[in-house]
Amino acid sequence: MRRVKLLLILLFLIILLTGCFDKSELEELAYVIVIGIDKGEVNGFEVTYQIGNPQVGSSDRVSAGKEPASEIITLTVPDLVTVRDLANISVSREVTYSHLKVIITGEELARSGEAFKLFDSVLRDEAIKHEVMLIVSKEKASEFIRGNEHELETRPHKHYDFMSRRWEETGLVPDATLLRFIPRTLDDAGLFLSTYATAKKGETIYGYEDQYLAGQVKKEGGNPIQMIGSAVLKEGRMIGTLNGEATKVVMLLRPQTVRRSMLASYADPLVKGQRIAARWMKTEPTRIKMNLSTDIPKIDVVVPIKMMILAIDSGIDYVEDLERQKILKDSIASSLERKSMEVIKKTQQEFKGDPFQWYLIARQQFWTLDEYKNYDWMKKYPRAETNVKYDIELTNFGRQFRPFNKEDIKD
Amino acid sequence: MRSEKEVNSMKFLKNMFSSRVNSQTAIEQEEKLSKSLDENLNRLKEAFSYPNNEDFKVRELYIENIHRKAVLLSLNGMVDNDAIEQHIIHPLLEGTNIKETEEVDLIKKVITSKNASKVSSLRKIIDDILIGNTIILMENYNQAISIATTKFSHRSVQPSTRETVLKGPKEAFIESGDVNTSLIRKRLRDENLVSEKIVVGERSLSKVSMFYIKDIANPELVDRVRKRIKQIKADTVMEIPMLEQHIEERSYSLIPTVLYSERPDRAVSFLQEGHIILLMDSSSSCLIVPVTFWSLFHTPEDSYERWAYGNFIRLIRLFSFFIALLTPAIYIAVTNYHIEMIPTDLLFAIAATRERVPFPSVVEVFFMESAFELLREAGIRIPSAIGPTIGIVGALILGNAAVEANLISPILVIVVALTGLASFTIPDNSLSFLIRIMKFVILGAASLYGALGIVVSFICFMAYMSDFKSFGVPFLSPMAPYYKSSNDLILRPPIWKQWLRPFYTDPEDDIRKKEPEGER
Repeated sequence: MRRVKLLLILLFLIILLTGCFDKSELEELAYVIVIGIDKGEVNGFEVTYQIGNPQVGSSDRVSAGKEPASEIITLTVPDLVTVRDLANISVSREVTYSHLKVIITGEELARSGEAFKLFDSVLRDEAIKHEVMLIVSKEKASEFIRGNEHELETRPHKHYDFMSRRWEETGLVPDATLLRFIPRTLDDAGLFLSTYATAKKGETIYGYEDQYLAGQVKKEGGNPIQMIGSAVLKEGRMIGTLNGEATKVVMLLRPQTVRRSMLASYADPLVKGQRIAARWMKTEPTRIKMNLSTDIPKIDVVVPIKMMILAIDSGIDYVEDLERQKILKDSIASSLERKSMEVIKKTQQEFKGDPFQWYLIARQQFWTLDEYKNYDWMKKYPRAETNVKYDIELTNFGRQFRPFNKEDIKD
Repeated sequence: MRSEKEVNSMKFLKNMFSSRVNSQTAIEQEEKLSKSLDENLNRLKEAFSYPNNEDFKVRELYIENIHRKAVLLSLNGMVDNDAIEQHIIHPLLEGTNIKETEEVDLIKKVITSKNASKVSSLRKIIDDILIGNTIILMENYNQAISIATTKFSHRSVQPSTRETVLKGPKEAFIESGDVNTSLIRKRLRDENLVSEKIVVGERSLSKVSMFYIKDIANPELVDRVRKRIKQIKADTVMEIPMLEQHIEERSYSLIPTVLYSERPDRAVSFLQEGHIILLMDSSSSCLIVPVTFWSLFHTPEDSYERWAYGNFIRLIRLFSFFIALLTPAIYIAVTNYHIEMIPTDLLFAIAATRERVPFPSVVEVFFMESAFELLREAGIRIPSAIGPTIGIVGALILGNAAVEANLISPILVIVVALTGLASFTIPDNSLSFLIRIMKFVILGAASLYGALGIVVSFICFMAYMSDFKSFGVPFLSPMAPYYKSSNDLILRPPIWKQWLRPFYTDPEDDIRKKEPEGER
């Protein structure tokens, strides 16, 4: 009996002694919400932290006086891991990435291709959410972070949470997360699209609602940032940009992406110069067929879209006339097909890579992984013959039945 | 029926007394009555320490018709005085049909009481007096008449207080064996319902009634329980909760092996599934053996409510089972080890309020959980006249003041309140204790190892539960190990589909009714 008791005590001690006593309490941590990475002036990297302040806007019980909602510091360091300790030269708490929302890379660093290595070290170090968004900023990341004045959501994490939720719907920027970036880059068969953003006003142009790149939209007031379009990364290195429209097309052509309600406008087929605004939804996956038996891949893509016509500027009654509806459908389909072909051509000629994740489908055509690797999709894709069809279904015409008759208003 | 039982128990009394070493009286087992009334009376007076013992009542009579003296002996407080008056004294004094010349047979002709027998052994007379009989000694007669006049005071049948239901019968067992028997037999009119009386205790004798349905309960199980009760070596077994502790197989285990219920309807439904019910005269509850986790987890209401409603409340209770067991542990694990699991907004809210709390969150949780347990215990011990104050004081201390004083963070109030509330939904007291104690164990594991600690300790707990047996029946059966049953486990099928008795008790007759045909 004494032996048993002794053993029990020893067991209890072992349990106690092997416990994790290096844990830290919630309030002892500094939560980095945004990391910005730039090339250092001489060498190394400039890492910018935006650290959320839990005491601001979280609970009515805590009044934090005039504390700001977040703190932004920039340090020059050799990598993203050691900086966590170095940050404590001015930050009073242990830095953690556990609630990281966004990693912003300056365009300069992105074009150099060194960012990929950095992400690897972050993943290795501690539990980090894989839904972390990847943004490439036109200017230096530190400038973008400091320039982002999200006044309606004082707390930065809320701002980026809401932003990403809207992006899923609008499709003006790609769904770029760390979770996708690493495997896509390692697959080494396609291009990765990352969100493109700027906090600086560039040369503004006028285009239709999505034909912009970040910084080109004429906008007054509000938060100075603009996030639209995408940065194209090949093998972890940025090689170009796509504007909002092209990004949207890429999203449509991808096999799996399903998007709910995006708004877009199209030329009215019956009256020149007028446009028709529509809300469209892609509720089914894209149907992609491939023939890889020859050296030149043949790709047939059919994109099913459901469309809801919302605004008819010309006042032509498409609602009650099936003939006109057919014309409208054909015209929208052909304009989308034309745009798609333009984007495909651009990726084939300029980027020489496939941002559509078609390689996932191509991979299915082979019996073994080796066969697929020997085929080398990256090399073959630029020569592929593609054929894109849009299968449009007009589901409804909004809450109004027929457009207002302008003649009625005149008298 | 009754006299048969009595005879049964008398045998037992004899056995028990014969095994007694320190017999207070010098009366030997086989000592017979003599013909002298005075001598007999003196022996008995001596045995009961008369006249010091004022409860020993001696009433002398003179029966005129036969010209003989008679003495009535009884113990005050155990006998029904009205019955003695009406059925014994009255007929004896006024009895006209007693003729001097005939061989008198008082039992057959005079005494109107329903139970009477002749006894000649002194020892037996003493035992009879002790169970509440009245003894008549006659002059010149070496036999006495023993008449059953037992009556104890008890309260009337009242609604159940511990196991309340909204729908279904309200009455509960009370502290009387006869009433309890009638509550059971009222619901179960079955000639196969057997009640055995087993005497336990070596000094003060108490009877345990063991109820089972002969053609349903497994005879081996009945034997096992009977043996277990007979094995009890104790001076006295006063109440049924003590009997529970005497017959259970693992005294140090957290898991109960016996179900303690005060509802006759519940007892009857268990009887019909081949379980055994134990009752004692002095206790207002019954014991049900063997038990499974499900019998502790179910309430009678589950079956009384319609299918959907009954299952709904079961799901709520299952949910609260886990809440009561795991919430504090999960809170600690998540806030200390798995911070990335909390939504950022909530995390910031917790971190902001925690910033002013001087203790680690583990200390906070232990403090609050102990305070709640304290409140709970106080609520039971407090005299009901000042009961309401406990609510006010408790709510103030636990709710607001501790938060105001920055002793704990506000979210912890939710954690503790939720845990407490959930623990109140657990129907069985033993199961509730099990969960409340395990809660602290898992909390300790979580504070040392986070989610790993929770998982490991919970797995150990589950493994122990599935290994545990109550009177040979696996605790988690018929789910694990799997036996055929009506699937009345987490959810229950509609009542007409429950046509199988659970096989884990190995019932003699395993089918309740014919398998229903098709869907209705």
